[in-house]
Amino acid sequence: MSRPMTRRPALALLAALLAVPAAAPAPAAEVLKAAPARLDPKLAYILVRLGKRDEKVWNLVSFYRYDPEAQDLRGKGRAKSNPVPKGEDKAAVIAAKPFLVEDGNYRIYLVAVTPGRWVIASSPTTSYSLGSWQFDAKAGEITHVGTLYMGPENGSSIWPKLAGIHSAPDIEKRAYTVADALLVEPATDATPVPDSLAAFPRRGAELLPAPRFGNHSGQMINAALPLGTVGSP
Amino acid sequence: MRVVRIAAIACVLAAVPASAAEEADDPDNFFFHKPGVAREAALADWEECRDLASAVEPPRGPSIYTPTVAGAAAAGIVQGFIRGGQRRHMAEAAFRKCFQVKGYARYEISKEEAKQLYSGGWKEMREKLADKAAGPAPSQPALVP
Repeated sequence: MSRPMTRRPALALLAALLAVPAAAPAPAAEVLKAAPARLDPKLAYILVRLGKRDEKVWNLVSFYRYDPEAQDLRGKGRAKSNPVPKGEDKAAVIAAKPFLVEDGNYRIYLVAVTPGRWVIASSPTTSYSLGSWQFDAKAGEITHVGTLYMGPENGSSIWPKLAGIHSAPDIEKRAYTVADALLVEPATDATPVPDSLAAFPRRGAELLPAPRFGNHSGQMINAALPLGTVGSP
Repeated sequence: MRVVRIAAIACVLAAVPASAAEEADDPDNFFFHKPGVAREAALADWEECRDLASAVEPPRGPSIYTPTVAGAAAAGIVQGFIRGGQRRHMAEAAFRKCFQVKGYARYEISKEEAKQLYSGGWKEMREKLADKAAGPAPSQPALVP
């Protein structure tokens, strides 16, 4: 007798919840497979070009939300009291795929993220805890970080400037103890941008030093190189 | 010889000695020094480098299938031993990278000096390490970082 009476309000409530249109957060920290039809004004977009890791392997880079006052990743270590609010992106990881464009030894990636202060946090093997680059990613526009080159400090990189960096012989002997170098080449007018993004608002990232953060990924550690150019392979 | 350095790094990491020893062509015992560094700054650098280096973890290898409990236990012990050795090497490399980035140079010391320098609890040890880092400039050439 009473069942239909109690079920009806429950079903009505469910229908009401499903009918709420804009409560669901937009897809976040999403590495896009193709240029969007339009930019979501609530999201920021990080545009980055990654140089190949070596002749065969594409690279991986992670970005993390950064607390410039505490000098740590938000919600961790010195910035534990400043966590990223629920529903916002803490991190964005760019792996080999998906990418927007491949051109020789480069791939170009576009990542939709929560707007805010971000830091280039790590390569596949190395946390840039000893110094990296931070930048603001603003809502409704593309933040062009430029080109990132990462590779082991053992002379094996295909990029001349990285290939000139070596570690001590006893460190190079064990691949897992070799840290990755990171060189950031800031975006300029000459940095390639896919035609499909040309119409969208875009600005070069203002890259500021991120003096330090904890080694929360448990990787080898290093400091990013000064901003510069890497040379052709 | 190698035992002293591995043990020293392990002491800095966890104030407990390690037991593994391996061959190497790098000098066994060393310390860090930076010309003109204030003692307080050296103390802070040691604390930070210790924090960063102690966090390193070797990458996990693939799981090994074994049909028996004894086999799984043996595989776990072997993997644990390998990972323990890897972690010590990674921690040492991370220490060296940290001090290199902070502008320190690395110098060889004798086994006896190393025993004295890397002894006691962390609080006592870091005072000695900071004294050494901020002390008189070594007369010998620096090691490769």
